[in-house]
Amino acid sequence: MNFISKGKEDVSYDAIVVGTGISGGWAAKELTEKGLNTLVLDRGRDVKHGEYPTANMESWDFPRGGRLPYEEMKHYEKQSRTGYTINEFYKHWWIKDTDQPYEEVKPFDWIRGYHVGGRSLMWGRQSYRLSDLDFTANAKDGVAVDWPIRYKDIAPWYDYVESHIGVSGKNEGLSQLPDGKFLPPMEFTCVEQDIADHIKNKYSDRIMTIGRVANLSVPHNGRGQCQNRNRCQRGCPFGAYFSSQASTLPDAEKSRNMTLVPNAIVTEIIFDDKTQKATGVRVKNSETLEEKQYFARIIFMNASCLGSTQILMQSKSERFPNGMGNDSGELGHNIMDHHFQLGARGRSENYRDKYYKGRRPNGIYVPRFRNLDKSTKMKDFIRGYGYQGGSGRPGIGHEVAEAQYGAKFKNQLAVLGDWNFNFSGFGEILPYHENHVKLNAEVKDKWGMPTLIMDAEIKANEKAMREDMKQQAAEMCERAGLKDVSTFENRYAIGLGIHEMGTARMGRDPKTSVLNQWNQIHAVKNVFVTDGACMTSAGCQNPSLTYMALTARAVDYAVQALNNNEL
Amino acid sequence: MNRREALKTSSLILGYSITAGTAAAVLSGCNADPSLDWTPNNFSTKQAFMVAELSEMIIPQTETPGAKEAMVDRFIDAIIDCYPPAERQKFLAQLDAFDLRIIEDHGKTFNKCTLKEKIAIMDEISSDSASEDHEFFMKLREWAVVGYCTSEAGATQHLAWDPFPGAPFQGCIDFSEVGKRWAL
Ligand SMILES: Cc1cc2nc3c(=O)[nH]c(=O)nc-3n(C[C@H](O)[C@H](O)[C@H](O)COP(=O)(O)OP(=O)(O)OC[C@H]3O[C@@H](n4cnc5c(N)ncnc54)[C@H](O)[C@@H]3O)c2cc1C
Ligand code: SF4
Repeated sequence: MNFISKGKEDVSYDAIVVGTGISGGWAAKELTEKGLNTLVLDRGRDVKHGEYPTANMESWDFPRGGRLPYEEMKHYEKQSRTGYTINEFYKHWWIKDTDQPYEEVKPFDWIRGYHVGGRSLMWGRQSYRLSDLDFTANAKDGVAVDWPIRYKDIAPWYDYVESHIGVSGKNEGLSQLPDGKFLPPMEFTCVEQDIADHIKNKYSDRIMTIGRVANLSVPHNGRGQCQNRNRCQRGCPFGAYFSSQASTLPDAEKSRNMTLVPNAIVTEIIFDDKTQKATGVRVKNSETLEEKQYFARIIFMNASCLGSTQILMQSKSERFPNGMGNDSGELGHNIMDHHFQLGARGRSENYRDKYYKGRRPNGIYVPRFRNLDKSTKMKDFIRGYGYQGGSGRPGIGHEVAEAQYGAKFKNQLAVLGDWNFNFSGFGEILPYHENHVKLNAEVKDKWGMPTLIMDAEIKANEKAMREDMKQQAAEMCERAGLKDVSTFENRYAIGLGIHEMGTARMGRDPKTSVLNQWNQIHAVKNVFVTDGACMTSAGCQNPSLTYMALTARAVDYAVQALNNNEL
Repeated sequence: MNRREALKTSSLILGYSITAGTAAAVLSGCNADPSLDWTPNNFSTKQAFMVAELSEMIIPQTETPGAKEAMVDRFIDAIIDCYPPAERQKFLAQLDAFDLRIIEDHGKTFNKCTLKEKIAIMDEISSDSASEDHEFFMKLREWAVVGYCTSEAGATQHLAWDPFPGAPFQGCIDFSEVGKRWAL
């Protein structure tokens, strides 16, 4: 099909959304529900709710218990760096690094899945609000640029998003981690309750709460209740955790205003010099390689932080020789993530006669307690971190078992060891201009698209914070009475937190930022970027809830502006 | 101690449940290898039978299924594919070296050894870290355990199995309500 012969009307819409992941699904829902005829594009294949091939398979239904053969694993050298993403249970949700390479000046882990729904299918669902501690942080510390918004601007949108997606959690009344609209919290295990009690008694500056997670502890908005199978990353037949498939895309479909086109790689945003606006997007079909253009009055970029950044960089014009909206030179810079892979663990000698029922898809959370105010100010680092983690109850382990083989050995396999527990820190990374990605015109991906070169690392502030993260985790384990307490630290490179953000940041000044307070490109007002690229600072909270809230907020603004003929 | 007594005592010690059929086969010394009812990817037929027998010694049938019923031999044949070729070859070579040594020492293959002989061999390779077959044993056992615990027979019969726990998650129940370790 060629748009020229069909006439421009056939490929013209009110709005185009690029990407159908966590943020794109929200853009699609909001735009269509507000009555805009919306084209929703995703570079990956279509996946309908329920099309989760492994959701009801058991470990024995997979050869090798789910592990991939060595030869096949070679396609996933980077995607497998998490240690948990590439196996037979969910390998179909991840790209092959051999199809889509990128270059690492310094180690960088870009963990991604390209299909309708994006990483909303595989995410960990931990959902925390940012607070004014975060929105004012850059201004207070004199770091990078100030956020152009404050908590009060986003708070109603957090309410709106949480009420829709369903987040199970507990209000704790903390200023650094605002309360929300939660479904009933999930239960602690005995050991977790015990540790939470100890922390409450022994510390005045911190608490331990149950994780706030986008799983439905009760039925919600027509979606089923979580059955505690902890198989979310395979896709949930009950729609019991938030994904685009279970929630936002069906809503958009219901509105009858959505045209969803999968296999559509957006290569470029088309810029019109006369109007100084974007007129549409260029698309390459991933199957046929056929190229096509689509037109719309507004464009929402939700191809993920680096996906959207890559498209903007490729959108070169006379007006924007260095990529669309890049007057500031900040496009592709200031990349952030959350640094983690460290903490402490220990063993409990209590509750040997207790156990649990169900595989809770959630853990514990210790909200940030560093640098909240004068009394919690740290000498050697700014910002802070939170802990995730939880308890488990493994078998006794045959290393310590008395029999090495035979019936006794076999019986030991069913015998429980002590409860264990861990705190695993997630820390804030500052926006450093030097931490950047750029286009690599030399190396193309399987579809002939330029790839990225990554050049980013954590620095002194993060490294100092990491020492404190380990030390405090161990101290809390000790004070909670755990035995054999030890710290751990594993390899971390930027990206491994899978919270890439910041490469087209919001700000007040077009000279130092790419987007304004409504996520509009300063100089191209009808293009909105509402995925992680927009983040001005990272906080230490898992970010996707914020992307959703910012997206709903930006759509609300965009539709009003459209109606007022301001776009 | 005659053969029958040896069988009886060792089955008591190690808890091997000797069914009438297997006991008769061992006692009569009938050792005809049936042909494999599956096609290995990596093992020769001989290796496959040996791995099945070794796995069953590690995880014998008791009141719950053993390694053979759980098809741990197939699992191990498949799991080898997850390792680089050199490691794969090393394991297969270790398996052959073990086989050769047993034939040298006993004049017959491991599978054809008596239960008593097998127990002596297993004692040595499992507990004596100086044994040249210890490394091989540890690897085999690791795989046998994973294969068994993720097999249908192992997970659903030997461990506690609850495919649809339902809501809500209960974080603190009496262990006696479950009685053994959850499979997942
Ligand atoms: C294992 C895992 C655990 C996680 N845990 C959490 C957590 O607990 N809490 C949390 O907040 N976050 C978590 N995240 C991060 C979360 O998944 C991301 O922040 C979120 O998905 C980002 O949403 P997005 O809309 O920006 O991008 P994505 O969800 O990645 O979607 C981007 C979409 O854009 C499409 N696309 C890309 N390029 C193009 C193009 N050129 N043309 C057309 N379409 C394109 C892709 O196919 C994809 O569908 C986790 C991620 C992973 C992988
Ligand atoms: S744990 Fe809950 S949300 Fe996750 S897959 Fe199971 S039922 Fe669905």
